[in-house]
Amino acid sequence: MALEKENTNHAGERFDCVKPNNARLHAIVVIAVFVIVVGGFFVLNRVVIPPEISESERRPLAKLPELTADTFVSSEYMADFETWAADSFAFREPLRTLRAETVFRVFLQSDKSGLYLGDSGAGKFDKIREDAWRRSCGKIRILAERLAAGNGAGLRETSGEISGELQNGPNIYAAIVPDKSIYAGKWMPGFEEDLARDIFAEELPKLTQIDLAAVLTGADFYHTDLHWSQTQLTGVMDAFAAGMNFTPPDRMGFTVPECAGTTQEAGQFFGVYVGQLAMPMPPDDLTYVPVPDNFTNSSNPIGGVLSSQTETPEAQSEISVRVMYLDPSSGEMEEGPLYDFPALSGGDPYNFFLKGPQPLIVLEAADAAAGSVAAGESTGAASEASASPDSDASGSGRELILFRDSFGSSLAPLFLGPYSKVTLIDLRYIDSRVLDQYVSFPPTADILFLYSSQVLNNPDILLIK
Amino acid sequence: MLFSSVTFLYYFLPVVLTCYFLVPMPRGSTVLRNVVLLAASIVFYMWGEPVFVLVMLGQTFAGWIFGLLIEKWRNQPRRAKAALVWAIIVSIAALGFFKYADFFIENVSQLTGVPLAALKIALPIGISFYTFQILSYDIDLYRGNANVQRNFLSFATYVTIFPPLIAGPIVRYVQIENELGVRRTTLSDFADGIRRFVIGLGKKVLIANVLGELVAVYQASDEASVLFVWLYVVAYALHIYFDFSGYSDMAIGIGRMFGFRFPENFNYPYIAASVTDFWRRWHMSLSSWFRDYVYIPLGGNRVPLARHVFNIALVWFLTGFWHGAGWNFILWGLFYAVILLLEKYAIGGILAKLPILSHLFVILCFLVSWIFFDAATPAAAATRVGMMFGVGTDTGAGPEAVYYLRSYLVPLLVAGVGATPLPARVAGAVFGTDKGKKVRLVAEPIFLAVLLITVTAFLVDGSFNPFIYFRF
Repeated sequence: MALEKENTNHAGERFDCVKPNNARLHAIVVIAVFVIVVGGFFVLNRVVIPPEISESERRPLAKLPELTADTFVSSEYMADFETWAADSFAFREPLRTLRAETVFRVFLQSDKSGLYLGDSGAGKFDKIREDAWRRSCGKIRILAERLAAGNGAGLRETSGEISGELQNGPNIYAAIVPDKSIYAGKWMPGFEEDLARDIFAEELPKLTQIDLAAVLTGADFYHTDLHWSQTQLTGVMDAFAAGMNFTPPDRMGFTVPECAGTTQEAGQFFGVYVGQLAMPMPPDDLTYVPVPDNFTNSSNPIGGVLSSQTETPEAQSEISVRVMYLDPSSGEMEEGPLYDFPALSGGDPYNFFLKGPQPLIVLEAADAAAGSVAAGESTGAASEASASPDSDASGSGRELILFRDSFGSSLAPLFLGPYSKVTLIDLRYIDSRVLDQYVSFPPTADILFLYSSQVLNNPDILLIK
Repeated sequence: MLFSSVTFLYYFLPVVLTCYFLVPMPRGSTVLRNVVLLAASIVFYMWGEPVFVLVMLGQTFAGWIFGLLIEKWRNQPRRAKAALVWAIIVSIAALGFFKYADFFIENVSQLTGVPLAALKIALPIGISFYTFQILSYDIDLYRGNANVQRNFLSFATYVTIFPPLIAGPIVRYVQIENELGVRRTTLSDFADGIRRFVIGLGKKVLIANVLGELVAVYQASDEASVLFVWLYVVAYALHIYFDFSGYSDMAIGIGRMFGFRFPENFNYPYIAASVTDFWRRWHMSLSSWFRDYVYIPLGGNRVPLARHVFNIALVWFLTGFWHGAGWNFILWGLFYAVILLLEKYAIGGILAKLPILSHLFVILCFLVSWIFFDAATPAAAATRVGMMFGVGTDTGAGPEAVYYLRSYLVPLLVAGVGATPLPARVAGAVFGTDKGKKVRLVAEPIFLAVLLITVTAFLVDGSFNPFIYFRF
């Protein structure tokens, strides 16, 4: 092979004027490396069978698209092929880790597309989209005003406001779950506390605002997940107690202080950010507050512990808390566990709390539920029993209706004590217009809207018409 | 299909290279290999534009036919000229229809007040590039600077050859005329091509895309601070340089693997001593195209002052308009016309004596120009330019700007240094010695492998990956 003289100094990579004497060998080595890398992955991508699901990212991986004339002409096939090619790439997980390491350790960037590693662990900041927040608040306001009419009938309305006055109706509260990025130790361009407060104050002026930002710290959240830890919510419950005027936490059956020495570890888990970041991180301990043996809600002692369907040794004990879930397929209420231990080995271990995404859950102290229809007999009408105002005759006599997202799952059990019954409604999974089929809204009930930025930034997912 | 995609890198490229080098060259003929390249190029184009490939092939066929007519009537100047004029009309008409129809409709509608419905035609990818390649062939043929290509397959291979097809460099027929007929790839060529391709890929994926994220962050932000707009415009300037020059590197590198030597497109434009010098270094294949096919035929600078001003204004109007059907692009081009005329007739002499000031002037010019280039409207561009100097800002440095400056400091520094010849000079000094050459024998392949695998990691993880020049 003839040695050539390079006649350009243009590109950074062409720095030699005369090729080295061993130019042929050099060229062969460069070509060999290229062939090994490109050819190697080419072969590996044909040999290695990709998983159907990315466990770290908690999502199904793309499948090879079907080639048809329509998908080809519309370019849909090509777009889907590229997604599949990336998703099914051999050694994808280590490669994703390599990218993250490059971003954080070589480029020294503070975040990877919004995902950061901070003092309080991993997180993701999403800017507050003010328009979206205001739209979400507008939906909440409409719902609150309908509920202020004193019953659920107004929920079927699809337009107009039933009442602009809340003072004669139930106590309605609103709280924002602050994004953990504000505790990351350095300013992150995502959640702006003041803006969040201002939007809620302006859009929901008639709702009593409960500020949680000041009572939380970064340590109250899981290091690898967006959620807060149930056993770190002392301050949060203090804030709710003060704002919602219920008995101080030390009288609560589930209070964190009481359980400080008795919190239990369900297991270890990797939160959602481990997979998204693709960085090696130690797992979080998933701890929970068990129902104490001498569980007592505010006024009436109750024997027994825990829910009947847990798979722990305690599951053999008697029922003290009844948890009823709405089965969307049958439309019936069915009994289920407070803490779902099998979920720990599932795709999202946080589903341990109240089985994760659920449209409607009713938590009820057992004595408060006495007289209700027995488990298994529940139907859609069962909610009338479990949600009946008459149940106030037992327990604390107070009822809470909690409109919530996933943060409410771990929080809600802590309300059992000051409240005899807690009804959790996730409007991402149930339309507000059908709520009155399952839930009664007694005028004496307290109503709390508790949402995080992830939901407030996406008003369209709130099924409030 | 993007070069910086898993599909290209790990499916298309290995298959095409294998097919290409498995095809024999009977008696040294490259015909069969040209067929492979043509087929690969059509697949490459169809991957992004399955329908508009017909437009490209139609324009190619027309350009080839007009070339035959020009050659046929070589001794009949009027007929040959007519064939050339028609070749130009057909090419420009196709470009005008697909790229500029809605722009004209919209402006006529606004001027006349008559509501006219936009055609909403999608822009065929790369139409600006391959149209100019076809035009260069017909014009050079008419001028006698090129030989006629009677083989349609060879001509179609020239027009559609996939490395420079959709984002340049603009390759003139005469530049690869010989290679279309006879070429061979040596080990050295192939290794050089790999080197160039992998480094271009790294420039695109690891620098341009990362800085592109910063640009996107600014565009989505509400913060109006002086620091943020400067951060944005510096990031955009580096982003577009590494995006486009990275693509050109990849195109040149792949061409080299196939035995072609495509023209250089960039030569460290950001170290230019003047704006005139900048345009000798930026998108060289386009600026030389306009110089040879528009500016010089108009008389160049060997004309009276008024005519020269007109020539410059027209060329830069066309350069801006070539980049996009929008007033911001036209203003971008005319901005350079004004600056070039100023340098030529007013401040050039002063700046030549003050090299540092001159370089700062160049930097300021291209930063301001990129704001017009990137803005949706001239008004938006003017607002951003004002913000660079504190007009319409809320603060000097907001928290978001400070955060992103800190977060992107290393990529910005790497890009800033990488946009100069310094890395090449350092590498030359280190590896230029006998000992250095031995080290390079081991270090370079390792560096290329690490770079390639790191790029793959970014592609597999689905990072931000647009190509700015695709829309042209």
